[in-house]
Amino acid sequence: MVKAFLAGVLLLTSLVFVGVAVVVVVPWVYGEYGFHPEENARSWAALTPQYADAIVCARCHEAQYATWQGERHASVTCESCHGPLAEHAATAPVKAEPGSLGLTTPDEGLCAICHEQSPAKPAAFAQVVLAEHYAGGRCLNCHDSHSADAVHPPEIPHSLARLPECVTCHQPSGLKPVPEGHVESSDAACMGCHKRPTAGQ
Amino acid sequence: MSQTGVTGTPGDQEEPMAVSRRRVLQLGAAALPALCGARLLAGALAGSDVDAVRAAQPQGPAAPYDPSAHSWAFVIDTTTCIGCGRCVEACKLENHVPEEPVMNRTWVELHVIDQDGTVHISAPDGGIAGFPTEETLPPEDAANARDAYFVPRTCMQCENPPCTWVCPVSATYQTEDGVILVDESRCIGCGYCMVACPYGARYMVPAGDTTPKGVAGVVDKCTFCYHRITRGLLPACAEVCPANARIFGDRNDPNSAVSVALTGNRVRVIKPSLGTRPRVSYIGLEGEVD
Repeated sequence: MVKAFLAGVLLLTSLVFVGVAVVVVVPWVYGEYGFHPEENARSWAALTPQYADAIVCARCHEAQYATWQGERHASVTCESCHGPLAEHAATAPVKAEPGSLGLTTPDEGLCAICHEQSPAKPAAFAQVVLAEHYAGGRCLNCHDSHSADAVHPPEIPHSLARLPECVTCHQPSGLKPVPEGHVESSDAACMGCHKRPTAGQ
Repeated sequence: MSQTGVTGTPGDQEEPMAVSRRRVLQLGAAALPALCGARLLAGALAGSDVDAVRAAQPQGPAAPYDPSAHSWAFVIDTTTCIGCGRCVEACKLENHVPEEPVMNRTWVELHVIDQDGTVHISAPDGGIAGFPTEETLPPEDAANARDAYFVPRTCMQCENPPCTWVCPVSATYQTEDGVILVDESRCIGCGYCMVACPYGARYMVPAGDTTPKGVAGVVDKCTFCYHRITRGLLPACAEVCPANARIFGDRNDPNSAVSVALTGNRVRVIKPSLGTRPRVSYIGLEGEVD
């Protein structure tokens, strides 16, 4: 009888002791999010970023930053087109002349990814049908990539009355050569940029 | 005896064993903060030394990151997204995501809605190279479509996440600031979480490839760029988005872009009926989204 009582007391004491020990020793969040997740979360936070911010690019490329800022392409950050800063820093010497660095230079394809006409794009966004928009020409021949502005070419200085197609005279080897970068186009494409005053048509 | 225990004065005459134990405890108590301090210092030194990008940031010395002070959230604006896929590419480069087109932490879908309300979804290569009109949107579909728009997708970082419930080894967990992470040292690669996720946000790192931390054979997923947001940077996808379609920020800050977007717009989440309470909300979604 006494032994049973003592055993009961011992059992109760042990249970209370274990209970207290668990409360004291084990963190109250134990197991809630797994085991020791704080350590792991810190290791995720310790990874090195690859992309930075346009303001970092501006430290070396002031002129480009100034052209880009406040223009229509201002919402497109440097790294959207040029790739991550870490890649640039890894491939380029630190104190090289700005402009000589191994920077990713975007090509025509990148312009098209954003600006090719699509019914799924917001109507207010600048879009072109590539086949109709000076097909074959290089975007950057007319457009500045940083400001997104198109250069304004000279207007046609002569009358168009009784004249054949533009390309009859204006070819790379023609009577009146065109500057490099031009592609053979329809009259409509020529007029798209080299506008004539309405009165003269 | 009780007085001795409370005050710890050296007056009590116990056997040497007790004194020795007390000394060990005292040493331990003294060593703990010292060790913690040393680790913090080492972390800070390593951060300023290795992390060139962070060092180049215009901000001053960063305060230690406090997860309990933040509640991260995304608002994705489908009315401004142009489907260029820059976010997909940036995510792959930032987070060492496998090159396989089907494995993405974030991807962009094209949703075309018929006159009868059926939603046709396509995402060629996760949208990483954009959506060439003639390939992804046949003219007859476009003519019949009631609406068409792009839907950038990512892990919803659910407040009520199914993936963490099912993980048999508690490898995937939710941080205090609301991001679901994977403890790659515990993950056994069983893939239960991939099955449980209603949003298809997880992938198994393929053979021959690793997670950003160099671990193979485990599951990986979007971390909201945890290494960036804890430094005050935007996630890489939001950083490069040219259309301001990815609005990221702290819900705890009423003036943050994401709080303003959440209060100023009619937003909805994907699959609300599942009760997962996603932290990623959408502006301009129409119809059912899977």
